[in-house]
Amino acid sequence: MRYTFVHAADLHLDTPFHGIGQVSPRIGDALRDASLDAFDALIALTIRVEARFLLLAGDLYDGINRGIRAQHRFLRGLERLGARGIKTFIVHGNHDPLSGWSAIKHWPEGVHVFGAEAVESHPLQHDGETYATVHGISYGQAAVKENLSLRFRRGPEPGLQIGLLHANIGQNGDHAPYSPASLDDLKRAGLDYWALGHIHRRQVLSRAPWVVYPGNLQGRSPKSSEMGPKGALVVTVDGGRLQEPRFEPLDRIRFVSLEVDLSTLVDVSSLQRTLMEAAEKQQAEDGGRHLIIRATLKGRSALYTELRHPGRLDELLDVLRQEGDRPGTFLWWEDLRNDAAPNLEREKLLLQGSFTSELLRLQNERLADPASVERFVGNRLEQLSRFKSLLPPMSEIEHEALLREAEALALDLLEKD
Amino acid sequence: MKIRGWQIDGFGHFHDHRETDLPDGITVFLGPNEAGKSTLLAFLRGMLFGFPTGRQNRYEPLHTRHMGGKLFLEAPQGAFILQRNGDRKEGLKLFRPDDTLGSEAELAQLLGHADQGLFKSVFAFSLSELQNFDVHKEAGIKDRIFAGSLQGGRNTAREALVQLDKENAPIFKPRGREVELVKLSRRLDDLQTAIQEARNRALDFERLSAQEDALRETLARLAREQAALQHHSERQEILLLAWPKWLERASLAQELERLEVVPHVPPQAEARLAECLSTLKGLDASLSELHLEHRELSQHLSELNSDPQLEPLSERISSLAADATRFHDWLQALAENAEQRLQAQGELEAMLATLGPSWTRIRLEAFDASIPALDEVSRWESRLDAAEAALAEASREVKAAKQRREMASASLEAQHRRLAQLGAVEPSERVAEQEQRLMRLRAMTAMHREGVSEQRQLDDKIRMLEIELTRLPSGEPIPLPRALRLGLWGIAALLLALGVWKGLSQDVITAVGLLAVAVLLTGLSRFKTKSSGNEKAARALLANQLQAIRERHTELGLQLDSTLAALREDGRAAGLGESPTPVAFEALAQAIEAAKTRLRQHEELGHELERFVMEEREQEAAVGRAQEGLRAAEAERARVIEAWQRWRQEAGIEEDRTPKAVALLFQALTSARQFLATVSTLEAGGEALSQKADGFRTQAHRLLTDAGEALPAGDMALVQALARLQERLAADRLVRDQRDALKRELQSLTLKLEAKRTEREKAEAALAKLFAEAGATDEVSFHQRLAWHAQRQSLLRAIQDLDRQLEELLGRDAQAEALREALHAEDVDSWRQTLAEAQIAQQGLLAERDDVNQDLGQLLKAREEIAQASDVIAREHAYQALLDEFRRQTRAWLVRALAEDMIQETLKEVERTRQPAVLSHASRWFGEVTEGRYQRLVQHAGDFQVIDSQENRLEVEKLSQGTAEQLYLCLRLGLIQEFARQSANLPLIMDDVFVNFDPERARRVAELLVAFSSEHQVLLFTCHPETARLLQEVQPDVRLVTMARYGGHGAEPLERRAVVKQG
Repeated sequence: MRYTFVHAADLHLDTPFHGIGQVSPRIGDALRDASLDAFDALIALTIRVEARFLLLAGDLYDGINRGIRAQHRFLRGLERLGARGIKTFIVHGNHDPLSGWSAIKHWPEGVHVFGAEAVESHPLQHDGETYATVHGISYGQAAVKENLSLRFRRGPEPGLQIGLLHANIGQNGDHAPYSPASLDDLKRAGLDYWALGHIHRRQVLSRAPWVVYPGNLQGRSPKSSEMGPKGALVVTVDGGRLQEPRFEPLDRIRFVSLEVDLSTLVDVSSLQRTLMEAAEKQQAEDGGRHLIIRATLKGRSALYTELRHPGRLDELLDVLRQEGDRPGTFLWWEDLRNDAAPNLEREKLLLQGSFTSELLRLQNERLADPASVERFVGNRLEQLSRFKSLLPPMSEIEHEALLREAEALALDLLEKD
Repeated sequence: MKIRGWQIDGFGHFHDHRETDLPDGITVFLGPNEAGKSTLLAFLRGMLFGFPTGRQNRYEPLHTRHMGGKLFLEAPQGAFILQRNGDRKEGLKLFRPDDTLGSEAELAQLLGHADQGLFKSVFAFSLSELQNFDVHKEAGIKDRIFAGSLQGGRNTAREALVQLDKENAPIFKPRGREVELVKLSRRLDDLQTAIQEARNRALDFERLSAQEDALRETLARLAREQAALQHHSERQEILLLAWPKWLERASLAQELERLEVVPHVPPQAEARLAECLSTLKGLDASLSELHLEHRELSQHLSELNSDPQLEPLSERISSLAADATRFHDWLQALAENAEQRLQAQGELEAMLATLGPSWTRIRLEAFDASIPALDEVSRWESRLDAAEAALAEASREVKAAKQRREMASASLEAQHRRLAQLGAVEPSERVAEQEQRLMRLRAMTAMHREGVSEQRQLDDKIRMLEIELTRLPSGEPIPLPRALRLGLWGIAALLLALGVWKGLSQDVITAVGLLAVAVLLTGLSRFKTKSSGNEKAARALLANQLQAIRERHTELGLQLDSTLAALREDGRAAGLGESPTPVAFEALAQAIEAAKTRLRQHEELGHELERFVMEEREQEAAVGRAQEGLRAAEAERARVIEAWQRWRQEAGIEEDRTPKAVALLFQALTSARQFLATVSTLEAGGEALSQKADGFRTQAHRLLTDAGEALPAGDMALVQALARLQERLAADRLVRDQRDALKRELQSLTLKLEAKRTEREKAEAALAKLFAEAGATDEVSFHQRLAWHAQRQSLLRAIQDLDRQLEELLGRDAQAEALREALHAEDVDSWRQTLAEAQIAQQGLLAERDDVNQDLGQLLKAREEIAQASDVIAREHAYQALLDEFRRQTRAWLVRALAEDMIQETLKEVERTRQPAVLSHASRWFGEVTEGRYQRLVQHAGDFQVIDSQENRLEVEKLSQGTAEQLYLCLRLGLIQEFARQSANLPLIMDDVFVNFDPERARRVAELLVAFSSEHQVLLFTCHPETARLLQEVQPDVRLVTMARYGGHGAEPLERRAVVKQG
């Protein structure tokens, strides 16, 4: 028997994008609808590949107060699958626990939502023969610290055995440690395929058994785990054997990062041209999708001073945004980061015995001592303490990066023509 | 920049006051109190940086309405005129050297961008301002002090800080209320509130969902009522629809009652009757045709007859007729075989004649010339050839070995000759011994030379130490005579008293000199006493050194004697005498080298000679080996020839033939044997063909005899007779076949006639049975009964159809029974009345349902709008975008703030650790002014400290007022010097700063100022003539300008004169 199923997770329907900044109304509309459009694409994919069932591994919505618009759209999608005899299996995760408010009173035909009390098993039959069994459990509350994977066991039913779970496997530090489990915990359950959710970066943790995170459906911020293609996995089972899951990109807007070396560029207009060319090349590689771009400027260049001038980088960003906000697919420049350095040789400056040399000496001493870095940056952060709720927590690495940027700025001010 | 003069139009009590031609160096303005010195200082400051206004303005002109005037300036670019009046708008005019107007920025450039505060603090100050201890703490001054250290590659740290503050201030200040970050955070709060409101609105969704449930329940109730009414209406409609059918059925039932019943009608009666009649008619026609055909066939059979003799011979006739063709071919082949056999026998005879008379057909058949025999002949040929080749090779090898032996003998002889030419050589042991000896001689000569040199140096040192030792006293202290010491003490006391008296009489210099001499005399007596102890220690040290050197000298002498003795002995042994010279060393070295060269040549020739002897012996042995090989080759060839002869004879070849000739004979014999085989094959084929032809003739004669035919003569006639017999047989067979066919046909017809008769009897029986089934006696009565039956069936079907229609309308259940009872009751009007009433009630229900549906539609639309509404997400997007902007700005602020902190921290560190040029200059001058009392200035915790000659640190507050003023004056001079180096050389303007200086310090300050004025213009205001005088003393050509009291309005013109040196 040969059949196909689709595995997706972390839909986060109708949630705002982070780190995008002010956008034009047209792009704003596209951003607002992106997660829902990606979900529609998931439904279309499931129908197109004639899947027997769809697995959704949690975090369908972003928060406990799920948006009505999102739930409405979600319901319509599942109805389309139900009308074609395609079943849907759902578990809820930390962002959308079962305790959250739901506008959906009745699920369409063929939808099964797993409860939070115990692992349920749902056999699937075709022509009177059981060909697969889906085991799953939802989060009752947002913060589930129990290792839920330990509750899963292979059942007596014949055919493929699938575990559907929202969990953090292997203590991934970028995500909250909900339902923490190790790969060995999963292997002990004796299942054939673990359809996981929670980690937004797509990854195959094991091939025997298959332990798979499909990643989220639509990137939502310029974080590294949200960058690049996002979508779902199409899994084919032929004669009881699982084939390599095939990734299908479904994102409508894609986050990408570009890096441009300033050292060979002579002026701002050549930088603008270089950036646009790089972005258009990237867009062609990404199948002509809408792109949200974070560009980082690198290298030593006299352009650093030009771009450091108050408002100059913002002006360039405005020009790029206007150019990118064009009919059809857009290129939205999320940020231009000036990580370049002035065209100054630090080592030479350090040895010339000037005020700048003294500044660099003190900076070297500071960077060699993490406590000193913490103290130095902490003094200024203390002044911003009233905005604490609005600012993201900063790591030691970020503190050091701030100091390096500040150093480049100070050098520029002291040494520029 | 220098000030060359001024024109005061009106300022305080000055009006129309002019001063010109001020020199580069010092100018002293001497005037009594209220001469206007402070006013002039204020005028100069005001002209350069603007006049004070409002209450600060204490210099309103007393005698004119116009405040202001002109300053005559000189800069490297040329002479400038600065014009300023009290009017702020038109206040300033700067005339360039070319009389064009300059800008305020150009003035600032002339002033080296010094601001008013800096100018007042450093360049133009009064006595009270000089005393200001905090002046160095002002940032501007501080920067100047550390100017060199605070400079980046292009810009100062202060400029960088200003720039950073300018960029950061609008974004965020810890206590700022309208800064950008605060504004953004307020907007974020507003948006958060808006999001919460939008979320609250979404709660309406639940209320609408509850209303939807209620409306759907109402709809369900209406549907139930509607269904009940519908059921009632439908019952009445069914009765009204069933009533006409009910009446029609009753009518048909009455008609059926009237018809006669036919108990049985055979199935398909009409068709069966027609079929029986048709079958009988067809069978009668067939019987007539079969009778006629039978008669015709019988007639034809009686007319056909055949030959009974030919039939038994038919197989033999057919077989021989087939062999007749092959018989003809055999005859033709026999003729061809005879011809070929004659030709082959002729060729075989010719071949045997070629081989020789001894070769007959019988011997040829018996001889074996197979391929293995041929191969063996080839191998014999190869062996004979190989034996011949080996013999030739052995002969060549003998010849070559003899040639090589002769060449080796010649080489050996030549080497003997070369060795004889070289002659006899010295033994190698003797040459090596001489070489060793020469090396020892050279080493000992060098050692001796170095030892003699060191001995001379030791001699010099011994002499020097002895002289030094003799110069030192014996080691006991030599006290001064008591009378002399008392004399010195007395003179010192006298000088001390004299010094004190001179000091009291204000002759300080003499007093100090006397005191110094007294102190010197006292110290002299004490020094002599202390020095005696040191000399004793030095003497002991020198004696120790001398002893050590002498010991070394003695040891070196012994070593030199030993070396010299060895040198003489080796010199004699080498034949160079007892005192060999370097020239003799060189000659001996060359002789040794020549002997070594001859030794090497002799050795090489000997080695080569041995090699040639060996070579000759080897070649002689090689000749022997070659001759032995030649003999073996000859023996081998003889053995192979003998073996071949034996083999040939055994093979039956008697002639003495070579293997090649035997091989050719074998080839000819093979060809002859092929001809012999051909002849034999042809003879066997002719015999077989003759036997076949004879057999055929015998069989043909027997057959013709059996068939009654006459025997023909010759093979061709025999074949023709056989053909005729075959034609006879074919004609007889045709007649017999026709007779057999007719007999079979007659038999078949007879059978058919019998069958038809039986068939007719069965058809008659079936017709009789059909009539009997229908109760009829003949065909007419049969048709009548069938018509009655058909009419009854039609009526029954109509009634059944009506029953089915009624059942469809009424159903089969209990309700159907009730309906049938109602139809029996026949109350049609009542049914119509009830239907009309139900329909009216239904319309009411439908209207109510439409209303509810409309409400539900509106409700669903409202809920759908909420579901589709994206205002929450839109606001969340807006919030997120604004938050991103907030974070971006915060980060940029933080980077600038950290850069600011870095620069500030570096500033503090530089101020703390570095000694700037300003302090260096000031330290030097302050040391000069205080005659070395204070060595230098340092910075400590933001303040200055002075270090005295004893390296003690003192706070500035602990200095006397005059000394502190000297310190700050020196600091200012240092600042002016550094400012001139970096920015602009501005004049120093002071108002009575000498007041608190003692005469000695005042003189040193005057000397300092004179020296300073060589590079900087100095304008000094004073009311003390002694100050002017002092400066005149230090520099006689100093410019002095005297000022009258109340020098402004109404005073006599300023007088300019030289001051005559006083005292």
